[in-house]
Amino acid sequence: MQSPFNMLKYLWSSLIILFVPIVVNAQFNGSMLNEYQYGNIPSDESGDFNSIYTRALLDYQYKDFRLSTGLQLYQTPYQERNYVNLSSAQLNYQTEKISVNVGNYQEVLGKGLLLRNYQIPNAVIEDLGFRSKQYFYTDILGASATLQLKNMTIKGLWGYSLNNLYPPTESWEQRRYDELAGAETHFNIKDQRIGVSFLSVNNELEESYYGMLHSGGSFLNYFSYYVGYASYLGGKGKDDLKGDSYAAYGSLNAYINSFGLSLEYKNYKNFLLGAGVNEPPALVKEHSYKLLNRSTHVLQPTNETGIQLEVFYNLNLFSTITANYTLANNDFGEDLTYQEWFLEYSGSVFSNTDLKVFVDFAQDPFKGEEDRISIGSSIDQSLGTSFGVVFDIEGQDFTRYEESVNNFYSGLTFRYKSKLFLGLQGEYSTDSFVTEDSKYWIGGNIQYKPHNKHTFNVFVGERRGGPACSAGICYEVLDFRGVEVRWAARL
Amino acid sequence: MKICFSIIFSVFFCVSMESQTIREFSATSLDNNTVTFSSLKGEGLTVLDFWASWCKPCLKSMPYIEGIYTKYKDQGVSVVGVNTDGPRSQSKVKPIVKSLNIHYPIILDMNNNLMNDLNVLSLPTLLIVDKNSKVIYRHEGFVKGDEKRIEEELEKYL
Repeated sequence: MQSPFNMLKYLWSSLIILFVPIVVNAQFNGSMLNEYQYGNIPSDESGDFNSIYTRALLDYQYKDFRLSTGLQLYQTPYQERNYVNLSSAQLNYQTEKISVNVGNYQEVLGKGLLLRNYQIPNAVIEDLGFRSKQYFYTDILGASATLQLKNMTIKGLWGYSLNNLYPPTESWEQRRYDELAGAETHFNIKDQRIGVSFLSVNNELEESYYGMLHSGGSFLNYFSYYVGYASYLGGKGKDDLKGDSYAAYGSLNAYINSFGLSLEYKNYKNFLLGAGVNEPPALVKEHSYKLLNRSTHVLQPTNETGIQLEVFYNLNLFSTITANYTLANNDFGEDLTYQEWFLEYSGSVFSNTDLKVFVDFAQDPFKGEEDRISIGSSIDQSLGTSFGVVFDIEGQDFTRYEESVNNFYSGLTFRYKSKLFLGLQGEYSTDSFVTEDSKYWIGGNIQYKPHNKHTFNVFVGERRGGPACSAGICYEVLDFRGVEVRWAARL
Repeated sequence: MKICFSIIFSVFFCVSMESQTIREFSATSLDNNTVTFSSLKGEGLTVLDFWASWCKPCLKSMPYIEGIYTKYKDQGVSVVGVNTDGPRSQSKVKPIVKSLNIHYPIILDMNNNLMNDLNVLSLPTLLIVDKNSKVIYRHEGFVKGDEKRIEEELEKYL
C-alpha cells in the first residue's frame, strides 16, 4: 500500500500531466487600467495628494470554458479610502445554445425595467462621501443559465446584486444588499416576440416579487414596436405600495427610405427595486455635447411619466438632421414638467470638413432652470490623409430664480491618425450653484496610442464636474485640479 | 496582494499573448431572430464592428463599413455590426440602421456579454477575425482616413 505522501505525489503528477496540455492549448487574455492622480477637488482644503487606481482583468479560455478574474486597487495617503479588492471571479461555459455563469455576471431582465447590470468601459468613479474610487459597473454574484433556441429563450438567475453607491472599502452586506432570483422567457412567432419575466428582491427590509409581460416585433416592413408592463405581485415589507407599484414602457419605430422615427412612452410609479437594481429606459436623449450631456434630466422611477420623440433624416450617406422632443412629468405633490427640444445637423460640408451644429431649448423646473437655450458647433477639418483638427464651441443661457446663468465650453484638438491627440479645453460659468463669482476651467490633454495594446492619456489643469451620462447611465463626476496619467493595456 | 499586482503590472507591460479566439455564441438579430456566430461568419474573414446609437464616431464610420462590406463580400468577407445599446437607447437602433441603408447583419448585445468577452474597452471597436475565429486585428475609435487603414489590413489577410 502506498504512503499518503506518495499518493499525494502521484495525484499532483497526474494533475500536471492532465492540465499541462490544456494550459498549452488554452488562451490567456486580459486588460488593465491604471490611473495616477496628483491633485484634489478644488474646493477641498486638505491639499493635493497622490493616488493610484488599478484594475486588472485576466481571462483564461479553453474551448467552451472561460475563467475570469478581476482585481482592483486604490491607494492614497488616507487609509480609510484605500483597498485591494477581488472585484470579480467568473466561470463561464458557452455554446451555441447554452450559457452558464458561476460567480460574477451581468444580466438584463425586461429591458431594464426589472433588472439592469452595466459596465461603463474605462470609467472610474469617485464619490464625495467616501472619497474612494472604483470601476463603474454593477453585477450579480451568484449563478445564471440561459438556453437560447431558434424560437425560444429561457434564462434563470440567482445572486447578490452589487450596489455601487458603496465603494469596496465598505462591508459586503452594504455592497451586496439585495438577494435576487429571476427568470425570463420569450417566444418568437414569425416577426413577433412575446415574453414574460419575473424577479424577486430580498433584503433586510422587504421580500418583493415582480412580474412583467412584454412583446415586440415588426409589421408592414416599415414599423417595429415594443411594449412592456411590469408590476409588483406581492411580498412582505412593502405593503404600503401594494397594487401601486408598476412600470409601463412602449416604443414605436418607423423607417422609410432615409427617414427614421422613434416614439417612446413611459409611466413609472414606485418602481425603484431594492437598492436600485433596475434601470427603466429614461426616455431622455443622451447628448454627446459637453454642456447638454451635463444638463441631463435624471429619471425618477418612483414617479415619472413622459414621452420621447426622435426623428432623423439622412440627406446623404454622411449628413443627418436629427430632431428630438422630450417630455418628463414628475408629481411630487407639485407637478414638475421637464421639456426639451433639440435640433442638430451633422455631416460633411466639403470633402475634408465635417460639421455639427445644434440648438437646444429646455424647461427644467426640477433644477429650477427656465428657458434654457444651448447652441454649439463642432468642426472637424482633415489636413491630408493623416492629420486633422477639431474645434468645438458651445454656449448656454438660462434663468434660475430670476438670476441669469451662462455656461461656455470650447475645445481644440489636433490629431495624427488614431494614434495621437493633443487637446486644450476651456470652460466658463456664472452659475452660483457652482461658483460664487464667475469661473474658468482650463485643461490640456494628450492621448497616445502607440499600437492596439497600449493607450496613454495625460491631463493637466482643472476640469469641471457635475452630472454626466455615458452608455445610457448617468452619474456624478467630481471636479478635479491637478495632473492625471492613465495607462490602459491589453494582453 | 501588492506583490501580486506588481507581477500583473509587469506581465501587461512585457508580455504579448496569442490572439483571442471567439467562442461560438447565439445572439438576437435586429428582426428578433436568434442567430449564431457560425452562421454569420465569412468563409474567409469576418469584420465585427461594435457600435452604439449614442456614439457619434460609430455612426460616422458605418457608411464606410457598408462600403467595405459591398467591396469585399464577394471575396468571402462577412461584416457583422454588434450593437451595444442598453435599454435607454435601443429603440433608436433599427431606425438608424434602416435609414443609413446598412445591409450587413446587425446583432444586439444589450447586456454587453460579447463586448466583455472580447475585451472591447471603447466604441467604436472593429475586429477582423480569421476563418478559425481568431481575432487578428483590432481598431479602436474612428477618424476620417481610418477606413483606408482598415482596408489595408483586410487586403493583408485576404
